[in-house]
Amino acid sequence: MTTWQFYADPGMTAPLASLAQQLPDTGGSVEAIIYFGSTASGKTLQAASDPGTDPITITPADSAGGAGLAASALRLALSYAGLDAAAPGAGVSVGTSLSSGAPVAVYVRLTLPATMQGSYTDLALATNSVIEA
Amino acid sequence: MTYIPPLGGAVDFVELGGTHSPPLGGAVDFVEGAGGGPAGETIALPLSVAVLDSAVVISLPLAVVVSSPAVVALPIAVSVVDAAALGGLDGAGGWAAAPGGQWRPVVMLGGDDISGLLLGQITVTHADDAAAVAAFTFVPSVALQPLSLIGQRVRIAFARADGSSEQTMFTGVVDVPAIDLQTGAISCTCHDQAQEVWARTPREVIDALVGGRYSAAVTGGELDDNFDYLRERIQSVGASWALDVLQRPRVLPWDGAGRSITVRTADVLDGSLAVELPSREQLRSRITVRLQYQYAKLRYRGVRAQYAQDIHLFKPSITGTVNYPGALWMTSSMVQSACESAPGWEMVGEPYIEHPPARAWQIGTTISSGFYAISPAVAPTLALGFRCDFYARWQQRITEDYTVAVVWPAIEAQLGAAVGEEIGASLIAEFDQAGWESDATMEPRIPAAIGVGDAAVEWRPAGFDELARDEALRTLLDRAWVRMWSASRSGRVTFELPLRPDLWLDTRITLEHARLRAAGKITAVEHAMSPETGAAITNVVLAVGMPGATAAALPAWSLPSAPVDAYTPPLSAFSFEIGTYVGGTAGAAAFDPETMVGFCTNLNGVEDPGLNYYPHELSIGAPDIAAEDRDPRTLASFTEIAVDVPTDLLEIIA
Repeated sequence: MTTWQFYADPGMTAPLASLAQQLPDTGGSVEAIIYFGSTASGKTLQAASDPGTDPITITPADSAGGAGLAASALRLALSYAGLDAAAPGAGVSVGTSLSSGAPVAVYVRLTLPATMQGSYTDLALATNSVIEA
Repeated sequence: MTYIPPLGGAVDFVELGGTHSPPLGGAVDFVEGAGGGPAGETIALPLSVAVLDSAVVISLPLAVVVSSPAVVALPIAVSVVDAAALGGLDGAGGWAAAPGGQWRPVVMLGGDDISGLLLGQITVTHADDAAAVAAFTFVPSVALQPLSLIGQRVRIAFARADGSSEQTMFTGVVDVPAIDLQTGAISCTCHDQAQEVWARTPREVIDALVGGRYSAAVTGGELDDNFDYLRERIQSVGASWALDVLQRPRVLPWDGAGRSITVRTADVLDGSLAVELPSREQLRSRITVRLQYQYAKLRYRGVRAQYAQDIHLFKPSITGTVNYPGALWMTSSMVQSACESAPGWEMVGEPYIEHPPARAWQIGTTISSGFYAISPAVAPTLALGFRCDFYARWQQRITEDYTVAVVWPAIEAQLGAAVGEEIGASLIAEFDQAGWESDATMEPRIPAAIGVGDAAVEWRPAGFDELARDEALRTLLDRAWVRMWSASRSGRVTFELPLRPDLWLDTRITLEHARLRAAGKITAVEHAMSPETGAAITNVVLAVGMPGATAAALPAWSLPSAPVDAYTPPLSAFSFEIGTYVGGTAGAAAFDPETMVGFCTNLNGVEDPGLNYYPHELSIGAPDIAAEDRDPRTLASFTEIAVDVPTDLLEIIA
């Protein structure tokens, strides 16, 4: 269990249960900034694989295996300028150790070709295995 | 000799014996073996042995946190909507969001979909510089405590009847729930937590979003609350703040850098168009900016007391026509005393006194007239003249009083008069070094504070320096311009459309209606859905400025120069008044201590009751420091800057 989660705002006032994105069926791109952090005090988050050494990553995930939207529809970056160069579907490293109270801004761009109307919930962003101390 | 250590590594001690022969010259000798000590003496080495209790356990606590590895995930809900739902308008008419007129509201409360439990109207309102609010009523499927709803997350969306093309219009939390005890219906008033979100948004994020300027002098001090900071900073920018439908902080430029659409007559619901023109009362043709920048000017002034007299004043002399008896001498002690009592001035070193020479002068033209002699013992006690330097340190409050009239000439000509208001700020650099005036060793030092003359240093620490002054002035000027623009945007054009969930405050609308042409940014939008009546309407409010449709950018201000103090102290401000007044002469006036400042003396000889005599004394008149030098000084600067302000399309068609 961890106190880290995703928020809509840099002040971590509005936690996100999900990131709602909307696109026309003719395709296009939509962008968002989300904030990954913890409002607890004095907490540290590290990768479980090798705490303090391995990076914490946030990676697009596709639970439908191609039946819905593809993970490659997502680009992630730590800056807006970095979105253009980000590899589709690739994760982003947010550091080897995160401190609570200081959220990391993650820029998200969803790009879809012409797509059938509907609600798609197969995409997600997920961290690697992390531990909080 | 071979040394054999004891068994077990222990240290062995051997009592010394035999005869010891010290080396010559007092040197210390080292003799291998045990035979070097003096006979009969014992060398003792105290041993301190601590016997520890073997039961003591030394421990080091270890704090071990056992954490379960976890993966933090954020589902992404992608709604792919009919592109046509986002299109329409521009005279297309119809209802793009729900082409068949079939729609349904979507309300998520605390993660539960309560769309099927709704009762009555659902409203969502977004407005510039305000929190978004929403209201809905529902009949819960199971009994619940309304107070448990406070703070529950809410999302409100509009969808076609089949659930497709769902578009979120509001995200926030329940603020106030109310229950109708007769029906059990619960009404919820919600907001988007704008104040909380902005208050917790870091200032660097606000700075990046807003741009513009901020000066603590303008806000009256540093602000603790980031929401207050936002509201102050944004006054220097032509923009409004809001949270978008997903609660993300946004800054919305008035000149519509975001989305732009056109609405025509066919798109607008009949009879809904209304216009409220910019009012003269709201307009501003000029804003007077005042900045009072106050600081301490730490001042130094060096002055000199100087007096010189000829020996002929003091020594008697006889000529064929004159028998001059000489005057009483000025003494060294008089000089010392007078210099030590100069009020308001500190003496620099000791006074330099010019003594008469120790010698003899012939009184008359012949030797028989006798001699006037000053002995070597007496000469140092007498003074022909003296010189003494003094200084004073003080602080003077300086106020640079800037007045800049920012004028919009075009609107002033149109109004036929100036309609203005004043905004202002003070930047005050306090000097709190107690005792600085009287202690010349205290910092700050004044450069070139030496000798006779003036020197000064202005106390303007970081945060109160010229940069801070300029930033405060630029902030005020930015605000003045934005204030005029804001005042000109008091016009409002209101109309209704079949509900457009995608319309938000970032959209600039050009309205080409049969009765009115106007263009402006959406300043407020209300979506109202009534499932019972089927009505789903968006009420749009545009903010429009004065007619003209001309663009104008925030000016690059050219700041007025710092006002200069034109006052120059007269030379008299640097010297003492030391006159010479000789009593016992035929023309000697009556003694007046107020005016006769200097060396007062009398001629030697028997006093004549018919003449005026003076007290034998030396007084020196120290220069005053003029009010212009000492009193608080205000240096005024007046400037007028003409500017242009953006205007909008606003044309009423008869």
